[in-house]
Amino acid sequence: MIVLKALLKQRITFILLLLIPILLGLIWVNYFQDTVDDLKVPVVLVDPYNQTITDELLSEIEVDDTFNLTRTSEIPLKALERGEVEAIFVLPENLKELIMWSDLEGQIKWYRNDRSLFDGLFKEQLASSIMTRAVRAEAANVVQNYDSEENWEEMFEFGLRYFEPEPIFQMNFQQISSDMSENDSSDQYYLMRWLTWLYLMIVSSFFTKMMLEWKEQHISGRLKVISKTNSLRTSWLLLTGLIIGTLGLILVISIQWVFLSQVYLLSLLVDIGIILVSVFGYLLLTFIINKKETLWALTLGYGMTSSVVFFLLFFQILNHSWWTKLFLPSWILL
Amino acid sequence: MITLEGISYKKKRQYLLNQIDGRINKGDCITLFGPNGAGKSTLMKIMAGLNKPSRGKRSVQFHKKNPIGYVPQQIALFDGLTVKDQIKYYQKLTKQTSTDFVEVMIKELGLKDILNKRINQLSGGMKRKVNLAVGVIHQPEILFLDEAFVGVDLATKYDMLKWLNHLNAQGTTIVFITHDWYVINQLKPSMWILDQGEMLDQVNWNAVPYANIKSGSNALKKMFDVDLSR
Repeated sequence: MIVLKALLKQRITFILLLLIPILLGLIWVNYFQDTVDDLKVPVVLVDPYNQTITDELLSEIEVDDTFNLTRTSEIPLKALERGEVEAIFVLPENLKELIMWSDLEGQIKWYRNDRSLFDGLFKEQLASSIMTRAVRAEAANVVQNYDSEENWEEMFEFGLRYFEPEPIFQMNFQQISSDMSENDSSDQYYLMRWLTWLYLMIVSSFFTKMMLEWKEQHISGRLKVISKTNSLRTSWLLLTGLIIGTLGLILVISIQWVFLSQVYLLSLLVDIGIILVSVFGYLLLTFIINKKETLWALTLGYGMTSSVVFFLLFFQILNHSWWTKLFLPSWILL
Repeated sequence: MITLEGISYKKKRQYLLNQIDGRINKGDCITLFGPNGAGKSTLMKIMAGLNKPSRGKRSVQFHKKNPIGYVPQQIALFDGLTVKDQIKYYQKLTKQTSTDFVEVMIKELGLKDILNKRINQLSGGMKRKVNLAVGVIHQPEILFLDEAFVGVDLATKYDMLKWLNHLNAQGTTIVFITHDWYVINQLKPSMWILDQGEMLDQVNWNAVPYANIKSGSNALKKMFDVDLSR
C-alpha cells in the first residue's frame, strides 16, 4: 500500500498517467475530426428568404456524410474563389409554390469554380429531393383536376408512400473514398500502437527511476534487513505491471475499437505482451544499474533504435529478421 | 550474538577489508571508528547481512524473528509520504504490535508534532529522527547506525542519543559509525579502530587514550588528536 502511495503521490505520476493520455486523445480526436471534415465536400446552400421548405430539403440531404453542408442567406462568392467552397446553390423565392406548379426550370442558381469536382453529386441529390416533391405535387394536381373534392395535402402525402426516387448517381466516389480511408487508417493504426508502446515505455522508465531512487536511498537495503523476501521490489513489480498493464489494455482496446471497430485477440495479446516484456526488462535493470542517468541513457538508446527499426520495417526498407525481433515494436508489424 | 572470523571483502580487485575478527555480545555498544575509506560501512553491511564477505565467516545467534535494525547514512524514507505513513508501514511490515513502545518512541524523539507532515517538508534533523525511528520500530536485538547523526543540530542529537542510551540500557546492542566525538562521549562505546581495511585495535571507551594507533595513517592519528587535545 505504501509503495502504491509513494508511486501515486508524485505529481508527475498524474501528468504521465492521466493528463498525457487525455491530451494526446484530444489532439488525436481533433486531428481525426479535421481530417474527416477535410474529406467532406464543402457545399453552401443559400436561401436569402429563410423558407421552411429549405429546412425540409436540408433534413433529407444532411443525412449523407459526403458533404460538409452550410446554410446561409448570403452568397459567399469570395470563399468559392479561394477554393474553400466547392459549390454554391441559391434557392429562389417562393420555392414551395414553384415546386407545387412544377415551374422549376432555371430557378436554382449553381455557382462553381474550375476546380470543383464532386459538387455534381450534391446537385443531383438536391434536384432529386426537389423533383420528388414536384412530381408528387403534379400528381396531386392531376388527381384534383379529375375530382376537385379530393384533399390536395392528403394526395401529396399519399404519393410519398409509393414514390421514393433514388439519387441519379450512386456515386462511385463514395466507394473510392472508403478504400483510401481504409489504407490511411491502417497506417494510423500501426503508428498508434507504436506510440502507445513508446508512451508506456516512458511511464515504465519513470516508475523504474523511483525504484532506483529507493535503492540509492538504501530503502531497499533497510527493508532487506527486515524482510528477506525483498518485498519492495516485489510490490514495485506487481504495481507497475498492474498500472501499466491496465493502462495498456485500455489504450490498445480503444485503438482497435476506433480503427478496426472490433477487438482482435491476437493483436491485443501481442501489444500487451510487448508492454509486459518492457516492464520485465525494466525490472531486470533495477538489479543491474544504480544510476538514474544510466536508466535514461538506456531508455533513450533502446527507444530510439527500436523506433528507427520499426519505421524501416514499416516503410519496407528493411525486412523482418531474427535481430529485428529484439526491438519490441517490430512485433507490431508481424 | 555476532562473531566475525577472518572477514575479508574484495571489490574490483581491491581488498576493502582484510582479516577482520571480532565478537559482539548482547547489550554491547560499539563504534566502528576510522577515517574515510577505512572499510567501516562495508564491515557494518557484512555484520547486518547486507553484503557477503569474500572470505571468512560471520556467525550470528539471534532470538527474535526480526533481530536487526539498520539506519543507513542516507535518509531511507519515502519522499512525499507522511511520518505517520512511514511508521505505520514499518510497524506492519515488522509485525510490531507493541503500540506502547511506538508511542514512547514518538514522545522521546519529539515526533508527535510532525506525524502528519510529509518527509520532504521536514528539516534535516527531523528527517534523521524519523530515519532512526523506523530503524528501531520493531525493537531489534541489534541496531546498526551508519553515520546517523550527520547534519543534526545539538538539540536533535540530544534527543537521539538519549533514546539510544535508553535502548542500550534496555538490552539493545548498538553498533554505530560516526566521526563525531560528542556522540562517542555520550554513548561511551567500545571502539573498533579501523584503518585502510585493517582492524588496528578494539578498546573500551575509558581506554581510548591508550589505543594502539601507531601503525595507523596520519588521518587516523589526527582524528584522535582532535579529542585528546580537548
